[in-house]
Amino acid sequence: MGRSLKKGPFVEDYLLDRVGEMNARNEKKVVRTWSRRSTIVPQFVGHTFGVHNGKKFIPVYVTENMVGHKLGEFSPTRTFRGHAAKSATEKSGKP
Amino acid sequence: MNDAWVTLARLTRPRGTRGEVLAEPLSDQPLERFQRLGRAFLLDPETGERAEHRVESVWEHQGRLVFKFAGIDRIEDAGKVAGRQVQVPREERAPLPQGEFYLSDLVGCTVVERDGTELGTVTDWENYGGPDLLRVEGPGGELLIPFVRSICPEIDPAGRRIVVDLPEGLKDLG
Repeated sequence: MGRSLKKGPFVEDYLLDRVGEMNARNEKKVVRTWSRRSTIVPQFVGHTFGVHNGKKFIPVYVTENMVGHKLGEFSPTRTFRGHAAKSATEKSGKP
Repeated sequence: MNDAWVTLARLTRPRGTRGEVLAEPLSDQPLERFQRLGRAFLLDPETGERAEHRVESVWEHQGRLVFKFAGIDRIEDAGKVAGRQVQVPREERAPLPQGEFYLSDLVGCTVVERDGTELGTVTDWENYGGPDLLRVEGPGGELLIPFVRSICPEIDPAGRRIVVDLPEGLKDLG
């Protein structure tokens, strides 16, 4: 069952405060957090979070299409070693 | 990573009885890119041998690709090529739109900050669901850098150099 709409998405208060302060000052600092359960809200877009995966902080740069997901979804706690070594593939990226 | 060959897919196992082979795609390009191939080279990663094959047809099945190569018409023959990599020469890679880069081209690039401080060299990349992350190894240890325009404003794969503008605290994530 989904969360009640009346309550709105769950976001750790200190994250909202930190991002609110940074947005007011127009600055970008990495926010370290252990709060993997916090929902990504539109205020977070353009900020980078260091989301703890149980061992270290993984940088998560928030984009518009990540809104509504949880921070923890982008910081995996398990390591997939893959079936073979990476070679030159046709995987592309757009900065 | 300046290999002369580019891997497009990895053949996993035979599919059906007519020599078709199931493959895991290693390219972001759409299905048409594979259908236009015409020929491909199959690399045996164990022996390093590479053989040219004509691609008769390629289609998609449940998120994976099915290749039919000329001359491979029986399930026994398809089993022999399982595990091989489908490759093409580097110069036959699909062209990318403006502003996009092949991630394998970025491996080996030197990463420097705007003030000229060298952070290290790109050794790999990761994708955890958000923007790609460049794995950079340097004297200060390992660093993951989001591959986004605001953090990587200047990317020059030909010059083997990426200029970054790191937000405060990214270097301390370790």
